Amino acid sequence: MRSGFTKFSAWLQSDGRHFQIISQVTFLCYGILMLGWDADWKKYLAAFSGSMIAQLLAIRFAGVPANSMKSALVTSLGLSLLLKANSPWLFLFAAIFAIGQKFLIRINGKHIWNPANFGIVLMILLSGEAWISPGQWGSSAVLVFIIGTGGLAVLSHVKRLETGIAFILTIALLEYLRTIVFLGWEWDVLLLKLSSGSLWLFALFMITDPMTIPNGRITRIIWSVCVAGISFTSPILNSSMRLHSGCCFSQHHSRRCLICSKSSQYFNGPTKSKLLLKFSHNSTFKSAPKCQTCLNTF
Amino acid sequence: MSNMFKHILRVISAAILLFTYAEARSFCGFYVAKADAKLFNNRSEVILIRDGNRNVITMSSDFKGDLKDFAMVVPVPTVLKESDIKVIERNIFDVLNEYSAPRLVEYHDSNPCGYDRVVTCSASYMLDSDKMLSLEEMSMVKDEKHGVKIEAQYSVEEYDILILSAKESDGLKIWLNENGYKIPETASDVLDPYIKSNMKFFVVKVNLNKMKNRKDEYLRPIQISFDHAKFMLPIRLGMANSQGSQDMIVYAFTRSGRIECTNYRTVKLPTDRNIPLYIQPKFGEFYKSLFDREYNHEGRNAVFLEYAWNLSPYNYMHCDPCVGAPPVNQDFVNAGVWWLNEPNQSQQTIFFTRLHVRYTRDKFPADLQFQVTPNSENFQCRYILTHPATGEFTCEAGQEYLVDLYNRRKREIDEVTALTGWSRSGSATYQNEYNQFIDKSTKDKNEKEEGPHGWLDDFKNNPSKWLLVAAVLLVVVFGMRFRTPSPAGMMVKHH
Repeated sequence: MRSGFTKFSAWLQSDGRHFQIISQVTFLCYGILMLGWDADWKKYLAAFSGSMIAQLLAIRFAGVPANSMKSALVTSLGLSLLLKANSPWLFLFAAIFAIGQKFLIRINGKHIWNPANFGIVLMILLSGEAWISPGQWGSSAVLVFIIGTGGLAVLSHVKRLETGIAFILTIALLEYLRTIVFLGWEWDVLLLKLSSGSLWLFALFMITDPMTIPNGRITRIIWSVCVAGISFTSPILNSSMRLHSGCCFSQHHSRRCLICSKSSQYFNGPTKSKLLLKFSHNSTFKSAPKCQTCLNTF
Repeated sequence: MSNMFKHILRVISAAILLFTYAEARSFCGFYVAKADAKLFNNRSEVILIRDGNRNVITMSSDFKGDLKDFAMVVPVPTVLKESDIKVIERNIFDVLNEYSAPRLVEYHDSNPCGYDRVVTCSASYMLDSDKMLSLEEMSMVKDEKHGVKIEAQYSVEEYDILILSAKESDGLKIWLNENGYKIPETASDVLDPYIKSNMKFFVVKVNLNKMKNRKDEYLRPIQISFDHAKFMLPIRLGMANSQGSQDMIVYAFTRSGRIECTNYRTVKLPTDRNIPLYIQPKFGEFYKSLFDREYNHEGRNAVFLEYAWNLSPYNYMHCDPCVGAPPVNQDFVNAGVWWLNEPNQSQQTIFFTRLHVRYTRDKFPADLQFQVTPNSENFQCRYILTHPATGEFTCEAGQEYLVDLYNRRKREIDEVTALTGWSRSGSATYQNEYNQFIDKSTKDKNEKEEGPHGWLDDFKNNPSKWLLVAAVLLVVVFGMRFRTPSPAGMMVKHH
């Protein structure tokens, strides 16, 4: 028993994606079985086959290591958890573009965007037939998030967990100040806002992604607080939009600006979207003021 | 690896073929009448229309007291102009309710031995509604003090309307009380957040003189329009003077697709379930129990989807099957769907969503926030009765049919128990009704037809989600098997 547990723990620690995959699979099963999510197998098949085939092509023709298939799994699971669309084709396209851009759009040998989020944002912007359901988790799911992932995170020695914690604490503090201190709502209104599954998904899985956050611990925490602050104070995003736009952050340098691109579902003009994508592409880690400008532009 | 690669390609191409198969299975049953009229007490109805930032909200009230005591306070984000306020006829709510209410439909088996009798079917709809609006019972006089400003004042049809802004809740509460509006003690806590959110208060009372000129005694619904980025329904104020739960039906119209709640879960109610024939006369009770059960099962804080349909002129199938004539364009225009009046025909898409919310203060602490999605999938709550074949069942196929019928009725009874929690008592007669026609030899052969219970039942009734989960797990395990021999891996081996 003990050795089984140790083995499992060692296996989790051997690759950061194991933790991600196990948690995401659990959430997906929980959503389908307990929360009554759409059980249309065609959409899931599209998400998984699209990203896995694309990854397989990369393994075969671009010399990518075979174990990168785990990344394709993470992407497929991310799409299955977050993306909603009218047609399975959109899942397929989202998956193909998500994986494809990893190899096509690179700066200094590293991809810029979080694949799943890139696919989601692209489908929402381009097709008009895709969306995200921030209310799909309900507030009881938060327990599953915290207990399930908390335990696993400790087991797998997930580094950079402080980034997620800093993000949650900042959001909690700001939300407390606004909801309770300023507006005068009761405590349970605050708790409802903080128990959004989307918020926790973002805090535990997206902002903690080691590939795209600063290396120093202090820098990471400051950066995380800034992301929380920017997403909170954005004048155009109401509370729910903010949380689910949070799920659409991209990685690397330009993540904050994808808040803007997500919010552009309010602004359906193609020019704005293009500008926005261009802007996010060019922005750098040090360009937080630019991002704020970007937010204020709208 | 190469074989695996080919295998995956084959799976993908099969999947692509499957996607091209369009599902267009329509239903060919009949509606059956038999429903209780006033199912949900404490019920209010609202029509929501949203396109871009434009909101149209129509509120219906079934106020039954003395009209001079009627008053309604609704937080609104902007100061409404007189042209933004309309009074509409109440029958639009009936039309929408009748069209979209959960329904009972019936099928008739054909006789496998060829002894069919011609059967005629009645057609009707079910589930009328009882209406109630979250209202504050107050009366009205005019004044200006305590930081309360009358932003606008209109007389629209039989209503006198004030739009107030306030600096703080105590002032507003004192103002309202001094002016004869009896605000509940608990309401002032709720007023404060609205005031600080810079919302205005839309205060309505009945103009008794104008009301006298009307023949009807009931109050007509009020429709307000405004532009605002927020798409929400303030429910907290209505909770201030209510102890228990309140039911609200939301009829929503958009150009693109369904609306869904963003701060609570939006859950589909069970649909297309086969239920026993004896449910027909008490279908209203059945649906009420089903709703109660789902409401509790989902943690009492979910919003339920009862109906979703694309009603655009180009979509000829407006219901499946129709109860009667579906609402016509003019009904939608009356409900506030302004874009149907636009000359451009291509703009006339319209999607209808019906949501049912049962809210209490403890489970719904915050107002309902919504979003418009492009989700254009149709949905309706439909429960199915299947009448047995008539005639004789002496042939072999007839005997098999009777055994199937026995088992089917057992499943129907199980279904009702699962959906409503009702006991099975009295259902044995229904299940065994046709047993007398089954030969002893057939009976013996099929004796051990006893299905499993619990989650296995759930699996049998709804295997798709379980299979889907199994498939996802398989794919993940498959994906995890891709390994790359790496120097690090070699080192581990050495150790």
